Amino acid sequence: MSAPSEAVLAAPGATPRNAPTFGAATTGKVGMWVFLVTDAMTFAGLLLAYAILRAGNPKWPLPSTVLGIPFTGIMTFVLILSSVTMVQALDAAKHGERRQTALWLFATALGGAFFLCGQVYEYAHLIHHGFTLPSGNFPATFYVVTSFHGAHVFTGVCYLLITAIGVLRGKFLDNGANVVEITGLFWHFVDLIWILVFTFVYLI
Amino acid sequence: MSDHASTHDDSPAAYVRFGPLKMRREYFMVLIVLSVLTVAEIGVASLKMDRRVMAVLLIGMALTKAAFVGLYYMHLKHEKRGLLWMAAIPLPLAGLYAAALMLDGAHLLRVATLPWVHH
Repeated sequence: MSAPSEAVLAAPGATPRNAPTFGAATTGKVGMWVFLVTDAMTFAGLLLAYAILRAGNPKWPLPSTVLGIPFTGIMTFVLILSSVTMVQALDAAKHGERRQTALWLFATALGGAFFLCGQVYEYAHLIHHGFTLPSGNFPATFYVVTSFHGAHVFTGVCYLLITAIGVLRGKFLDNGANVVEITGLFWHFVDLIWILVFTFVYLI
Repeated sequence: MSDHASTHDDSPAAYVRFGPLKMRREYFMVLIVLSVLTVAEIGVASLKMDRRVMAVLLIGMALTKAAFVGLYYMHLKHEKRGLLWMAAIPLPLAGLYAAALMLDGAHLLRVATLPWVHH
């Protein structure tokens, strides 16, 4: 009988860190990737619904005539910047710099909060001009797709704040800053999805 | 408690292979690429050109941006192939699914008047 691998023989409760298939990826990280792939499918389904409804309607308005592209462009840039602050947080976490890590995590959460405020402002502006959920297929799909993404941003901001507070309390920097890395994966995913939503819903 | 916990043994493969300085430089290069592509997208969207050509250009730029975020910020570039495949394999399947749904949707819209589609 062959000997069990070192990963399997780790201390009870320890995370096997060197499984041959995924290298140094922890089970938590692999789990987050599985979740992100399934979540991406949900977004893909929503964008497909948008595309099918749009393709079937020749009178579909040009989004740039209804939506504020420069304003949303700034929101997009802020979200991209927040991805950079997130990788800085992970960089600090890998070096065991607790305060720097928390600072970058708070900066990332601030970027997310700015994005959410921008989205609320955009919704208020659009609703004021009659672009409401029941007023047509374009508003309906627009609000469903963007608010679903907004819910992810809100979740991400909460996730970042919980991680930042945990780091300040002396947690999360062990095991290769695995928790910070997993938090970052979720946040970058939110950024990645917005890149696609911005193009498909606002620009095309 | 020390503010500088020892993490030497826990460094990820990317840090071990490339070092933190190169990684930071890489992050900022990606930021520049993403910013330039975002501005280019807004520029292309404001041009008066064939809508199909515009759509192809915009989708190409969006997928490039998404790939940069996935490869560099989510570190897929530095991960083991097993993890990379786990993230990459569903993408073509999603593409097939999308194509099938689009074809089905186009067919339905031609042969039937759906009550929720305003013509």
